Amino acid sequence: MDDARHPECDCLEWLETLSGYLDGDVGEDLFHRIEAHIAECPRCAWAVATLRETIEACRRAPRPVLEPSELRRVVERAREELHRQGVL
Amino acid sequence: MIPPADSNAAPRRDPAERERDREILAAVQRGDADAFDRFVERFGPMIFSFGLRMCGNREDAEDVLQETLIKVYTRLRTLQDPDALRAWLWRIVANECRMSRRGPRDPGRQVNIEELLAPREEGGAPMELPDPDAPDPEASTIRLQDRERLEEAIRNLPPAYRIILLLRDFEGLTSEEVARVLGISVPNAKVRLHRARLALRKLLLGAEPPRAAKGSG
Repeated sequence: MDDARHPECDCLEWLETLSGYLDGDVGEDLFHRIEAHIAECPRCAWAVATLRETIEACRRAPRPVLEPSELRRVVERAREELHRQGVL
Repeated sequence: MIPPADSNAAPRRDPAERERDREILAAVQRGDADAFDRFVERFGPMIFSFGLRMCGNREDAEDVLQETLIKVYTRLRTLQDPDALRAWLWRIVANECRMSRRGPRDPGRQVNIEELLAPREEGGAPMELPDPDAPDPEASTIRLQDRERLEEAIRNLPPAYRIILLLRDFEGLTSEEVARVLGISVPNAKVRLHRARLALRKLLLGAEPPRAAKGSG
């Protein structure tokens, strides 16, 4: 394996920054250094791509839903308790 | 600060949602007749889905929803800062999940606060290196889009990682709000979030990451 250009310690260091990079939460200098690194390092480029996909999968995921009849039952129990406490 | 590398990576809550939260809070504090129904319509689905993903079973998720509705609505009139509503609500939801009867995949056991706030990997989470053989990005995309695979992976995360991912990447809280919900510093929240994302990514990619065929291109 050709690790001469990308020693492990360097890649681990970059790996720690990737969430901040994807969230736009790094300074401009670090942003450009990360961009330059991933342009040269296929391992980190893949890490960025798959981490981005992971985040987007979470953001796209539809909510598990409660059936309307179940929701009404739960909400009515809460409403009764709030009535009992004099809140509603 | 520079723009996000990917616009989809920004928290998904927009100013209109904040305004909607403010209106509902104002309705509750005025004592409007339909305020409870508006509150349930707005937050009920969020609370239930969070509870289900956090607790791992529907019975506990229903209990989390019911108890959260009662506790939040009882105290809502005293909330002074509308912008604090989200973090305040999610802190109550998180506590209700902690108090749930069963806990994920562990019947009869409560999830204690230490588990929620301090992952076993804290200070030593396995920081895998990217695959050295430059895998095919398209193959990983297909696998990551599998919804059931995502839900299963979420269930298999340590609770401390699960809760921070649910708050930040599913519910769209900011890092500052997540830190307030969990009672930790913002830098700590960011570090924990990153490790949680890496852990989820590893589960989604599976034990055998896709690899580009050597010599095929």
